[in-house]
Amino acid sequence: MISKKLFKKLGLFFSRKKFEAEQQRKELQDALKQLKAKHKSLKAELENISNEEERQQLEEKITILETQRRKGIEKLRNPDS
Amino acid sequence: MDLFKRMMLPVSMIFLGLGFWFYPNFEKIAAGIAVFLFGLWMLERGVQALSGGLIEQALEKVTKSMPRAISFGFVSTALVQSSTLVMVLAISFLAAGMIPLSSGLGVVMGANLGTTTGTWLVATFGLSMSLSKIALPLLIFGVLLLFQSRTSYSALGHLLLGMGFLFLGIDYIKEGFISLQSSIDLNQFNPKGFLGVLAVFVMGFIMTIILQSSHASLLLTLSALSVGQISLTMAASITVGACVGTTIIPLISSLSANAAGRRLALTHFLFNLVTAIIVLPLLPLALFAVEYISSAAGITDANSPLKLAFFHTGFSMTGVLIIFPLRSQLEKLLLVIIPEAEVTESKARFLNLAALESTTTAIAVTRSETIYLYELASGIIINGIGWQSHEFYQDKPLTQLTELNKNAIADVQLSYEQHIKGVYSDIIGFISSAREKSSDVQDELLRELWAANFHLIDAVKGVKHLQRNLQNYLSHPNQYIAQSYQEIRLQIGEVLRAIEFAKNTEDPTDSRLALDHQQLITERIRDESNALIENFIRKRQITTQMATSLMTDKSYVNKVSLSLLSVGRLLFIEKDKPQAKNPESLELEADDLSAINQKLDEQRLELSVEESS
Repeated sequence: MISKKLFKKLGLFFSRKKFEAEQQRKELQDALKQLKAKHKSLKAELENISNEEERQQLEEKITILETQRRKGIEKLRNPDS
Repeated sequence: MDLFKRMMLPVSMIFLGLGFWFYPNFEKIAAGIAVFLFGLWMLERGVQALSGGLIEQALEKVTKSMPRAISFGFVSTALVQSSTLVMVLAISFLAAGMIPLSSGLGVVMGANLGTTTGTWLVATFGLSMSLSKIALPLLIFGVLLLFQSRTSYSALGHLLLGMGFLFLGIDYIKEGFISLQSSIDLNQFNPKGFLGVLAVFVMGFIMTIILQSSHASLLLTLSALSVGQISLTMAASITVGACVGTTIIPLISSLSANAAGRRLALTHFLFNLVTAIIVLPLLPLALFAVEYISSAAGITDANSPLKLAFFHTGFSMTGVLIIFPLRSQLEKLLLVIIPEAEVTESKARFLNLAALESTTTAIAVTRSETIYLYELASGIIINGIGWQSHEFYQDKPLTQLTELNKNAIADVQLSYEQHIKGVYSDIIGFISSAREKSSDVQDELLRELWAANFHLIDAVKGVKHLQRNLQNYLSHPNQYIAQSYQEIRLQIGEVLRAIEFAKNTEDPTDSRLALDHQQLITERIRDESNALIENFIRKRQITTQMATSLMTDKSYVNKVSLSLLSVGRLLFIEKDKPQAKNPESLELEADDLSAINQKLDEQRLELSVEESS
């Protein structure tokens, strides 16, 4: 396990391409975490809203976040796509 | 500044040529200065690249208190070993309105104290040991790292090479003075009386302007002092001259800055000049104090460079002690000497040539200027579509805003020519200059700002195209066409309000979501517009002439909205917050937005079917 991690770190150290890909992966992961947290908070907010127009707007925002998250997860699974 | 630099080149060439002709040994000292200055340049580049704009970011945050501003000035000058660079950055930030004058004063005091670190380092280590032995490995490792593709390694390479060349330069200068001893004795020029001190002070002042570095002047002085070529009195007078001389470059750089920037440059100059005026007549007394402290600290005559370091620190401290209690009076005086110039809306407010010294600073001032341009442009757009700017940004619903009288609505094209075109041209010219020496990341940021400006102008031009029809149809007796144009106006209003929200919201995720949501609405309106207009024609609710105007204007408003939303994204989602980073793969494209709208329509249809059954 330790040697696997060590080889991964060495690989990153020697290959600029791998290093940049890893950086992008981490950035994407962080962004997805932010989106997940926002999605959760908007869902909770939606429960307490009765005004139809406000509800509609919030639903739209939630759908935007869902689409972005789906795109991000897809990219995380297939980085070369 | 250009003229000054052009003049300096032939003067330096003649000065050096004569020196080499009359004193062949002088060559080694001159080579030492050249290597030392090259080392300073490399060091500066290395620190800037390694810190990744940290100095500039820190500068923006020193506004909190005077001690923090002084500490910043001290630490940054000690790190980059250049008070000129720190002052030029501070002037640019002040000119861009990013820090107040009081903080700038703190930076001046700190930078002055920071320059003494160089004197201490050279006096303590540089002259007592052979630095070339340390320089050589530093140069080898530096070159190895310099050729690495990773930016941080190449920055470290610059840093090591800078240090290596600095050490090598110091050694050359030291050896040069030792060999010069046999051919010339500089002690014969030792100042006699106050006029003599004044003459040597002027010499130090001119030498620093020519070398454009007080560090280089001080190094020469320390080296000459260490081999007994000059007396402590002469060295002290040169040091005072160097301290005043180092303020000239920022003073010249500030000429292109606005009043705020010029005030700070003048403060730096006055700070050192006033201290010099007080210290020079009292030089014998000051040197007596230095001798007294030195003997108490066990420093012998063989270590006279350390005495000069004591003097330099004492000089800078005296300046701080004089200016610190008088800072508020000084601020008032500066406001009187350099009053705020009358604001010309058609000219850039924050851009200044001094900011081009550091690309990070250039980016910061361009961002401030573009935000200013956005404020001008959004004001023109709001007025152009028949609303009042000040009322628009209150919480009032858009449908309840006061309608402007037709005579009070300015012509968008005319407003563009009068207020925007000049600022826009200045920004584009400035970005082009800044890109000449930017790194890949900085270049990307500058291109984004360029794009933000371009989109902004595109939006203004779009509003110009639909202004005439908007004015004609908003009050048209045909309610369908009047309502359609009211919707066009509301669409622009909603977009501007979403941008205002993004601008004032702390959390970038919220800001981004607000803009994405507005883009979704824009796409929906675009998708529905053709069917809507066709329906109007089929039911003969509007004429075909009205319909074609509406179709064209719907296309304009779509472009205006998308351009403004791009500006909002590029300008108001903070770049230095980690959560602001949105990988490109998460950005929504037109297909994604259409799919979302389709999904939402289906959901709503299902819900209405369920409710009706």
